[in-house]
Amino acid sequence: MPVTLTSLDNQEFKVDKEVAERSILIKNMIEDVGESDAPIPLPNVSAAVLTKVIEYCEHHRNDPVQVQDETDDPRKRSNDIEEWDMKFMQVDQEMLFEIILAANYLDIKPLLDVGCKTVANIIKGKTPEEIRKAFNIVNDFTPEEEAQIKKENEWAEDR
Amino acid sequence: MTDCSTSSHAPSPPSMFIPELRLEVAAYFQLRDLCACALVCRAWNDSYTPLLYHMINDKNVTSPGVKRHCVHARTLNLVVGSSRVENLLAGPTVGLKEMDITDKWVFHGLIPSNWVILLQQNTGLVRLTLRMMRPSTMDAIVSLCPNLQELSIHDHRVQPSRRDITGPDTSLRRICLGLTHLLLAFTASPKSSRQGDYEQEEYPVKRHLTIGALRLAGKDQLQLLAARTNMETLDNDWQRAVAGDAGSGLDLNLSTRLFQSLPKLRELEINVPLSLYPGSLGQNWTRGVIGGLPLLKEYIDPESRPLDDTEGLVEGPLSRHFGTLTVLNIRGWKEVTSENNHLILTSCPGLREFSSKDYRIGDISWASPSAFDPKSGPLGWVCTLLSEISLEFTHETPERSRLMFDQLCCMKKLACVNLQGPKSGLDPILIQWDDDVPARFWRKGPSILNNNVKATNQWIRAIWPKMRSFSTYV
Repeated sequence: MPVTLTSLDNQEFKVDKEVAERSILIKNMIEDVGESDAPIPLPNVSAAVLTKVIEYCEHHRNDPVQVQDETDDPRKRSNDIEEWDMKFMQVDQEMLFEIILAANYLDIKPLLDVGCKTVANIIKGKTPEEIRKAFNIVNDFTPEEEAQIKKENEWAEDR
Repeated sequence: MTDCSTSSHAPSPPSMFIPELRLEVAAYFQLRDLCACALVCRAWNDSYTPLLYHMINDKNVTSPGVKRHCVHARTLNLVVGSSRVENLLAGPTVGLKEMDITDKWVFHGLIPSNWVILLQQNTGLVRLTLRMMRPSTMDAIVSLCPNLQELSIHDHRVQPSRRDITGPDTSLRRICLGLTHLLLAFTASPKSSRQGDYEQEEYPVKRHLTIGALRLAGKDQLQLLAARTNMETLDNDWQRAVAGDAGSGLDLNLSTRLFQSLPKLRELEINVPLSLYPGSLGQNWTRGVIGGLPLLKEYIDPESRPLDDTEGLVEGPLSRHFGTLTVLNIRGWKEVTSENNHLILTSCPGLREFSSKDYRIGDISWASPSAFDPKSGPLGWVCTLLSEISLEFTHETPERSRLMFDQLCCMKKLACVNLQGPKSGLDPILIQWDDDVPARFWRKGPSILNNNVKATNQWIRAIWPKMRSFSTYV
């Protein structure tokens, strides 16, 4: 049973209901509206991004529902990305962020997690300068500010 | 994050690194990553520096950043004496929710004024852990925490003081009324590291009481708690209890009385041999966890006769304690023989869910088909009633797992099966039914074919007509 999704740029995508319902947002919409052929508008997602998101949902259409992690450990692991997901996330940075924001908007938790892990892995182990370079960020600290932060947070530097 | 409308015409990638995403990503960071991120730019500093100060501990309490950032602190974890709290009082009020104080008997009843101020500023404190502290100090601290919900007291060694922390006039006794969690762990033996196990556990029920191992001074304390208060000050609403720590000795007479005096207790986790309990533990249990029998060797006085780990179960039927169980979970139980398995299961005629970790079929007749025969085998009539079974194979060969699997096939009422373990030799499958239709099917592998669903469904339903959820994981 296909569902039609409309992207920001008015492109229509026909996907299986099962695939579309990987998105909790869409699942709830379908439940609210009931059986209907009307296309579902997704005004926050461009066609290029939606194509990627659908690709992800297609591949993971049969995954079991994610169970909430029972351990209360706030530290999560970022080195457990599946091989397919890893390849899927090999996109330019703009697309990476677009996917994350779309996953958040569409409420696709596993995709959001994989996206965040990918970003975390880019950052981990880097110096502040390397991070700025990686994300094209301008250092807007005054030298005094920078020195103060460095001094205040020194205790955490090698932990 | 939902409200942030971004699109392909965003000016540059960095602008998409919105604050909400920064926080989301931080869950994967270690302190040094947070530290580096705080130095990237002003916006990042605003996101990441507060996270560095969510927990104040011995490492950062004296750092120059604390004064400015302690407003972000939620948890305080300090060893008294080696840590100073002045920095926390200099800035704006701290909103601590959680405190873990290791005193090592530094405070003598009266607590220093800076601690008093700190506690007065943090009336929102809900979770408090006190370690190695004089009872009078505990009173002083607890009386300053009006909104406390969870209290844990760890002793770690016999206290010279004989004062009763649960006496009629103490604040601990008064405050117990508002608590939802109370953990008492008076340990005499330093080797008792297993206490940590309980701290980390999170319990699903609203109220639970954990009573750790007791010896000497601790014995008196529990005696008073059990006998004098008869638990009425604890408003008798406790539903779950944990008795345990075979490593350092639990007073079984006392804990037996305690369990019997709390009419609403329904769940018991027990980590000492049942054989050592002098009387019945009550008859109201519906859920039980039994574990730690291999630890018995630590518990036994070396002078005395070594006990067989499972002796008690052979001597006295489990039903004396657990006749009413419907859910039973056994863990860490390596030494159980087939006979004792028989006793466990036949002692609990109402059992509907059974789970076991570190399970060994071992050498035993427990895995022989006749044991499961509903007509002749002692396990048969019990196991045929089970609706839920969960087994984790840690020492199994694929052959034995298959054998076990054959046994499961005899339990016709099973509606939920979960098998896991590195050596189970079973293909990873998850299948769940919804109105008799397979609603969710997952099989690890390159492709999923429709006929797999159908075939697997038919195969499973032919064996277990009531199956709702069947899973095997590696």
